[in-house]
Amino acid sequence: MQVKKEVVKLPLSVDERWDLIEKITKQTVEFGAYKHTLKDAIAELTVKPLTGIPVAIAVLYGFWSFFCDFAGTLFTDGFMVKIFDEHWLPWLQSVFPGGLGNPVYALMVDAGHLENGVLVPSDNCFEAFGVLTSGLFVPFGVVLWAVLAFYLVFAFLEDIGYLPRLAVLVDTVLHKIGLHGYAIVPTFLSLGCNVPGVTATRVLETRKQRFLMITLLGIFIPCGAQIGIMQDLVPELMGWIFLTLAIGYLGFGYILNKIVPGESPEIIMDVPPYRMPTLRNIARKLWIRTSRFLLVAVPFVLLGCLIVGLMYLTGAMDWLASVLGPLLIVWFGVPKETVAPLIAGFLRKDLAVGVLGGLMEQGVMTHFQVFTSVVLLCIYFPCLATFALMLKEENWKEFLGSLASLVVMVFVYGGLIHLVGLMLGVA
Amino acid sequence: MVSTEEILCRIEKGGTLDELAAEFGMRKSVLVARIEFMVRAGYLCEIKSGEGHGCGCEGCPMSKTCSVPVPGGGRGWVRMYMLTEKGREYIEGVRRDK
Repeated sequence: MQVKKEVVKLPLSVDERWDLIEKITKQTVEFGAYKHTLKDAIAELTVKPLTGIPVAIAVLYGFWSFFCDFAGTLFTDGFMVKIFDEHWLPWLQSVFPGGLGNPVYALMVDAGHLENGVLVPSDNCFEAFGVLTSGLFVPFGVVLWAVLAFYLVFAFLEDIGYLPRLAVLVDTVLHKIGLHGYAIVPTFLSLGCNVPGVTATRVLETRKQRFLMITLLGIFIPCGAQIGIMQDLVPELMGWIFLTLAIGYLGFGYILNKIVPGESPEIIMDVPPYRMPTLRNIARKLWIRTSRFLLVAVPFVLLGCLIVGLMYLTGAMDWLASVLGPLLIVWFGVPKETVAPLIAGFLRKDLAVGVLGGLMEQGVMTHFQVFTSVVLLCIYFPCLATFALMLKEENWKEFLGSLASLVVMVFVYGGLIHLVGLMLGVA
Repeated sequence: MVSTEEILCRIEKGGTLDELAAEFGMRKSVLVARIEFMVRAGYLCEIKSGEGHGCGCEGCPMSKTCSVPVPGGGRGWVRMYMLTEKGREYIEGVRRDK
């Protein structure tokens, strides 16, 4: 190799030294011919906006299709609904002592419902609302499969290294709301469960960004459990629900970014190469995340069923419905019975949608009211576990800020949805 | 010759290291070395999960094998950098001198 001689004047500035290093490197280091592999081509295709955005849409569509087909069609509709509605519920109704009208029977198995003034037994686990029926059907019949499907695909996308590319793609959009591309990781994680999503906000560097992210996650991102049960109950409304939540996420994020003081600095990142995922890693992640979900969710769902059942039995639910009814009817345009799912939502959002499912079966809501109620359930309050984590992750000032944002958001956005419904003549 | 100021200014706009290396016509390895130097000089800082919040990835049972793209977490294969106050002052100082 021939080395070009060059006169260097000393002392050198930092930049001149780096320049010299580069010149020396070019002249002395011989790099082998670079072979553009398929992996490189895919890596480039998924990070450039022109090709990356269609790929991202295809990936998300595939994700959603797998989620619906695996969790909804195959497991929930194919097996669980049949097992719970055709075998478990009739068996419990026949062997549990007390029978319809008995308070313990109502709490544990089936509260029944009125048809032409006569109390009749429920024919499905959504409607029964007992601890042993709905309390088990919601987590094991519906939600478990949704969570499993979500975390399986998520672990795969994580392990192949797709998420940093998605982060680069959405970076410009997320900067408009004071975040950067990497905020897609907690957002995506929250679609599985808000708890790890809130924890993952640690990836954001400033307190402002963390506050924005936690607040937006707490309000606008439904968890996998909730999505799974929504998909089971109102599959035809899912597109509208996601669109409404996405508009809220971006619109409210934009406003918050303008109001909240603090910095949202730009970052530069090194996108890693694609990697082959290992079965062991995916299985381990799936096990840890799903077992955590079961440990957290099942006790809360059972407790929620018990509390809602007790509130119905003692008349507390009717009292609350009469107190909050005017607000729900006039401002949000939903029936006063929505108070029951809203109360259940404090404990678990999936349970709340389950309660809503019971109301739908009884035919007390119009299509638009179902849509409004589902969106309200998503945005009105994070579940208890997320709420506790928000307390831990934020300081008092930030926590109160998040709560204040939440209250304002629910009233403004909920009222706005009702207004749009009135203007379109569907509310 | 690409100056430190130019690199810092470009980093202020965000993006990826590959984009930067292509824009400046530099080898990525040289760019990485320059960025590491800037980190040592205090113009840039590497973002690590939980830093400043006292809550990193250490508590996670998957932290040893995790490939979640968390900066500084897991196997640490995602690197993210941002400008420090010193970096911003440096850019402003150079601009003033011009």
